[in-house]
Amino acid sequence: MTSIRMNNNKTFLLSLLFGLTLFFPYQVEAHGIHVQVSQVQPDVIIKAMYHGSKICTNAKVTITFQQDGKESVFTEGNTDKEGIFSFKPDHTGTWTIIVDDEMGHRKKIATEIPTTFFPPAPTTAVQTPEKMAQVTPPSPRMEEQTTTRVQFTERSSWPYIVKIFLGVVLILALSFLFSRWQKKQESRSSRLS
Amino acid sequence: MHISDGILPVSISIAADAAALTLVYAGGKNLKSDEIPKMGVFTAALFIISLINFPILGTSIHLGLYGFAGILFGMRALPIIFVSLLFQCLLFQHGGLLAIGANTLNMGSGALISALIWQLRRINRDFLSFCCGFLGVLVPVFLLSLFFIMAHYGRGMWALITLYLIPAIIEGGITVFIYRFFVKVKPEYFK
Repeated sequence: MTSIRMNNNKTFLLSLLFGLTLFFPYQVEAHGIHVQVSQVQPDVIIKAMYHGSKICTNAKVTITFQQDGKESVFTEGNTDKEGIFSFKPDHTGTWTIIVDDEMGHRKKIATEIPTTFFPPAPTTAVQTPEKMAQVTPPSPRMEEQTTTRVQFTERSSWPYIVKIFLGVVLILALSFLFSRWQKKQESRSSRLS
Repeated sequence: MHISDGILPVSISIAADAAALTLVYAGGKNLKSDEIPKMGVFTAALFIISLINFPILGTSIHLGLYGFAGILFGMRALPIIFVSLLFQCLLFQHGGLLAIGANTLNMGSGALISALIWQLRRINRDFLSFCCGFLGVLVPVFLLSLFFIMAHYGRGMWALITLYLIPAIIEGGITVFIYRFFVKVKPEYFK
């Protein structure tokens, strides 16, 4: 009778686990914010997303940099409907980007602006008004083309699924080990009594 | 609903950690070996379920099942919630490690309220399970907004409550469904 009950328990637990694995094909996303950074001269463009693929819109963005050992705020703003925010750094070094959706989710990352980010200054030559007139400013269309070239690499969801499996395996293994240890403790105490 | 590190002041986070660990210890005290496998499977279920979003009404929601954890396990739900949050934090950085106490108190409050409600007799069990699922979301949201008020952070209590109201109703409905399923498959859990 007891063995039948134990078998029923095992079948139930196994069917529950099997049921949970059926959820895996669904899109996996939740809670944490993921920030992708792309450096396209003269801008640093960031894209904020919740883990998975949901765009993190209207999140507060704070850009800071180190100055004399202190963190100074360079600029603040919000991500747009695409989850994008951009800023123009004015010097090399480590810049900190903080994205906060003001609902409890926050991501702080650092990005290094190398010296190669800033193009070398053009050789100084005597510019006549005629020559200066020949230099055409970049058209809005060109700027648009530069922006559309920014490609944020989409992350594969596989590492997440692997992590989920890892988490489940670890939790079950720990509970199994803890259960065996507890059983030994119980049998030892019953023998003593 | 997971609070990241750097949002709450360190003093509040440490106080919440101490309170949460005390409650987790109280919840896991005198644990019997035959209870552990069931708790382990439910911990794995909690770990997975809040990582999965369902597209509903143009948005996406995920289940928490904290109310149902309270129905099934009572105080034992606290170590279950703590372990699932710990793994979510370590593997996915969902919620901060220092803020794990605040997160455990938040989610655990939903389970504890549900465990208390479930003790009420002479009330329809389906209705009670709906209330457990519903409050299992809204009570943590209320506590979360209290934490935010203490930290002078966020968009206010109403912003959070309106955000989580529909998911709370859906979770209530799903809790009724899960409760009925468990009553059919494992009625001894509710005796």
